[in-house]
Amino acid sequence: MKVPLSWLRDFVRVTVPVSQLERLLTAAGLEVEGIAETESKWDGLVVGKIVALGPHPNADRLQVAQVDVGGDQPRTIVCGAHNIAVGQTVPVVLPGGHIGDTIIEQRKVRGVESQGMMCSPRELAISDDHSGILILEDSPAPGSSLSTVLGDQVLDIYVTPNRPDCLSIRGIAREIAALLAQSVCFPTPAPVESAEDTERAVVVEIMDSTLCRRYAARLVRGAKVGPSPNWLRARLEACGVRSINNIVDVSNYVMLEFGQPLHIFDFAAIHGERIVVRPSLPGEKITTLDGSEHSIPEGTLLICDAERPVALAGVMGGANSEVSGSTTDVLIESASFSPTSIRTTSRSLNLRSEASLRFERNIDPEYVLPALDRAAEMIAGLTGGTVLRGAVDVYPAPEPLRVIQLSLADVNGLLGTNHSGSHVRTTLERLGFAFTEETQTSWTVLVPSYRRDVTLAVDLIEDVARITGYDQIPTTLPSTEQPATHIDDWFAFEERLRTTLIGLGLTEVVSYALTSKESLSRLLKGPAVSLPGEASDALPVLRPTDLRRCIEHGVTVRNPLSPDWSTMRVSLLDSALRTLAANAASVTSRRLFEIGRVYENCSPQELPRERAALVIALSGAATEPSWQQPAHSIDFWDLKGAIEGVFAHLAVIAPSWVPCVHPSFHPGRTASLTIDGRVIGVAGELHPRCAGAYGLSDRSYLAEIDLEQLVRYNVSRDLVVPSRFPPVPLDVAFIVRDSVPAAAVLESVARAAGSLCRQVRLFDLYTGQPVPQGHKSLALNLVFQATDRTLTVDEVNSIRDHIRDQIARDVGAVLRDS
Amino acid sequence: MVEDITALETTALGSLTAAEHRSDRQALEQWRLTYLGSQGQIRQLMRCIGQLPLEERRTFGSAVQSLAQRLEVAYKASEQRVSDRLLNRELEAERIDVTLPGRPHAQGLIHPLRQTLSDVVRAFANLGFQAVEGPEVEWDTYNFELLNIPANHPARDMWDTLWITDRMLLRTHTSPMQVRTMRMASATARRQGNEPPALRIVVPGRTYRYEQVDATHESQFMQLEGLLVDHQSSFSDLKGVLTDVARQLFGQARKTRFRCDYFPFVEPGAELAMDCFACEGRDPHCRVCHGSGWIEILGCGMVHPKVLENGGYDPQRYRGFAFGLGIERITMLRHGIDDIRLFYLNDVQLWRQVRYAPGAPRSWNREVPE
Repeated sequence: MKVPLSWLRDFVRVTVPVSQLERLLTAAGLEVEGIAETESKWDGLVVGKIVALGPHPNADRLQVAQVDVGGDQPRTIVCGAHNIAVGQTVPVVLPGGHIGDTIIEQRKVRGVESQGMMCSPRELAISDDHSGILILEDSPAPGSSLSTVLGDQVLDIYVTPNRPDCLSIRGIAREIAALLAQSVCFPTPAPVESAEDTERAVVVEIMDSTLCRRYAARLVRGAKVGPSPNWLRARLEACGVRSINNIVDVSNYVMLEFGQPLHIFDFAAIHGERIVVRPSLPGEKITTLDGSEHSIPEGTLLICDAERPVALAGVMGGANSEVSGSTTDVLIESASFSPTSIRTTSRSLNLRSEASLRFERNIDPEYVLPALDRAAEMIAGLTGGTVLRGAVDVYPAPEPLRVIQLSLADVNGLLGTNHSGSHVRTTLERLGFAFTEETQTSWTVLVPSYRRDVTLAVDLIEDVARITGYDQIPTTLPSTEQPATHIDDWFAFEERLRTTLIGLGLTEVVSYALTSKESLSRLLKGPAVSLPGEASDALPVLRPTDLRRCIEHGVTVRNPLSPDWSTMRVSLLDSALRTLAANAASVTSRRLFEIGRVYENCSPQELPRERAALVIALSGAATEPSWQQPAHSIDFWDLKGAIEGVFAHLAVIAPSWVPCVHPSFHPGRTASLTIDGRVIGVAGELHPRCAGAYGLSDRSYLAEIDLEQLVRYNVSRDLVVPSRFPPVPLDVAFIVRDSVPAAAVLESVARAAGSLCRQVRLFDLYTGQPVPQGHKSLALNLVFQATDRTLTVDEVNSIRDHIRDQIARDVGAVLRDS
Repeated sequence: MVEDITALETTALGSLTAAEHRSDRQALEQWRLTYLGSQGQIRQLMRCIGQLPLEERRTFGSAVQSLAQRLEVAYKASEQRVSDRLLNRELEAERIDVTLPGRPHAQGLIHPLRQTLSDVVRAFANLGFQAVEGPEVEWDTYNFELLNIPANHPARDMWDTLWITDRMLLRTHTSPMQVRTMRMASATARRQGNEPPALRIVVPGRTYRYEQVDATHESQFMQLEGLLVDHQSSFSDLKGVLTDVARQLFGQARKTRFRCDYFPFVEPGAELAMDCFACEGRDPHCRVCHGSGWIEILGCGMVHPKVLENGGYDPQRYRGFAFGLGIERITMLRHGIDDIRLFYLNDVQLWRQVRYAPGAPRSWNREVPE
């Protein structure tokens, strides 16, 4: 809302500098977003007085004026307009000055030296009028700056949706008065009326009083449509409204002053001298003032005459009844419409106007008549028309008065303040609230009808607080009732997990949760086979045979900003792969992780499942290459080591790595992670087709783990004090068939080694001579240690023999001679 | 005989010096055996004592003893010098160029947004606020209606929404957790025949808006919601809690400013700004506060009675306050980033520049006034 200071001064004394006014208004909730000096764009323009005027010697259509601009001698200015006369004052640009982007220079016009230019309203950007030079009123002194004549300061105020009353000069003036402890002075409009009765000249009928709460109208006959006077243009221009003609300008002016939108019809176009306010019927159409034709949705509130729609109520008038240059009789509409209806209409037709903006915020129906009277008064004054007697006012159900009980204890309790009763009362009274019953500390407060936002005591308390200033409220800490902490330590779990992951040298990323089905479908390049241990409630990525369906039926946005952001992700792999690709060129060693949610649609009656997952994504060099060590490329074992590192820090059962086939992964280099036979994650090398789809040229290694499954396998582990007795190391090597998984050998060894064995570590894997074809050699480092004694060589040797026998039975391994 | 001793000393010290000069460990050992060994010359002199006249024996004996001591001391000193010299020579040979770069270790890093989130959560935890989370895909009911924003209310324009169905949406703020948390708490209390409990929670999480993305607007971003409900909290407590947190995050010297603002689910509503930590209001061209001296950081207010009621808390008996802040905004302020889109581009090169200042030097008063 643009608010010229000069206009405010019509209603309230502004006793502080504008910078302080800005601070006060902003602190009170009316944020001043800017202060425009309208004068700046007229920099260098001056007032000129025409002292002589004659025809141009060489051109019939030009005149030569002598213009006093305050210097010793009048300037000679050649002019093409014919509305000027000697004695008038006009805006003048002198040579070297500029108007808009055009620099004016002294030059010969058809042989006569012209020392400047006089300006039309359009050239000054006051209105669209370019028919002649702008004639200044009140004969300002020649040579004075044009800014002082036309200029002003204009506050640009952001009005929050709860304060429709402040979408008006009067509303802002009222706030300023309260903030400055002044009173407002609003003149009551009093149009001079003729003998003819409005009620005889026009009939108004409201067919649906819930959609139209009040409709009032007045008639002005014999109006002469023409340009508006300068002051009116200047005010509208300052408020960002284009001047059109004296009638339309009045409707805009009154709307800005009162916040009550008006509409003015050419009464000659109102068939049957009848206004009918009704919801639309199927198939109706209207062409609005902006020239566009609309098919009207059924039930839209229309203003009609006896035969046809003439306006979309509260949104925009119809072209068929628009005021034109030949209009003489006008019907002024001032009405109150249902905010919901106006909002629905303006949304569905995508038509927003200053009127709809105000109506949809539920403006005050009590302003209908004052605004109507003001418009009639102004139109009569500006156009020479006569106002008919009285107004038609159909108001089936006037709003009841709103009263609120308020106590001083409520005010001070909610605010933490120590205001006196008289302070509270005075503050509210300045805003227009009335106090009926009262004691010193509790009141019945009558809410003025324009304060649409005030329905509860807290609303009054906010008014007290904001007018007094929030800075007057003390700053304290809550003194009591520290609530019991209830257990929801997911946030803490994620934090701990994050710390572990960065300790493993992984960098956290945070990606968009929105992606597209196309992007997600790139995960489906390989064959889909059920994972061992897969359950129907596993994460989508852990249900390969179902993954395509999960993507297709993902949580989809109906009104996406872009097709790339249309579906909520069902797996973190997609965004992780995109991040790998984005960093491939610039970062040698890409070691990333993300903890985020994946989203899976359920039925339309249920919210989707949102589950926390962890993705680890590795690609490129294992570490940054350096002068002392060649870089080795990240491989599966880096991924597995990182995941083992995570589990080494978590008090959960360590998962088993079961070879598996997954559509996103390399069929020979992928494992499902299972705990207690249930799959909780998948890890492996990215399938080359997926890599291609994401534009990745290096091999990439990824894992996605279901964090919410993970925490179900909590095991509490007490610490064990290390033994003081010496450890006994034992290295053994076994030859076993290639097809036997290493894990089977290690498990068998660990089992056979028994409780004295503290560590089983694979330190070498060898194939080739002298190991037979189709076999491999696994070399293990075992450490034995007892907590209560030093182990003897014999003891360890007998365990070794036991291991040898056991592992031969379990996996057919043969102990190599050392 | 005494002359023999003198001559011996001269010879011995001479050959010791020669051996030391050659840094010859073997020669030194040989010298030790020659003079101080069990078959050495000192021993031989000692053995000669018996052949001396009785009156000379004592003098001669003590002269030999003293010679033995002197040679021993000279030997030890020589031996030490030689061994030092040899060790130094060895160490010198092992010299490296310490200006060469170190062996790289993979560096992990927490994402700046997550770091901010956890710092903010910790700051509120210090005041007894507990972190809880809620769904990102929400019902219209929780996101709008129960927060006093009915359908067709113009205030809905404040939150342009991404819709899933007519009733389901991507939450436009973390505020739905206000009513969710209150409802859970009050329902549980009612089942157990208790009063609804006092609450202090913060809700970190992702939020979504139908908003064209530019340097200062994201359509997917993170917020932190806060809610305190009890019997006697007041606006002054709201000021105190938020001022304290602003100081925890941006320094103890911070000043805060509260101005009236409108959010349908609070009344009175406010916007909180703090004074600019970068220029403290002194730089009219400050790139953080743009010369205003103030940085707007969050919206807040006293919980609207209707919202309390929707949460199952009697507004006649309970009061509370709520606030919501943008994590991206705080993080941009912390790191001097002026493009919000960078957070989700995940340019690892950018994140690797993130540094956190060590705290102030540890200080405590050794002397405390009595």
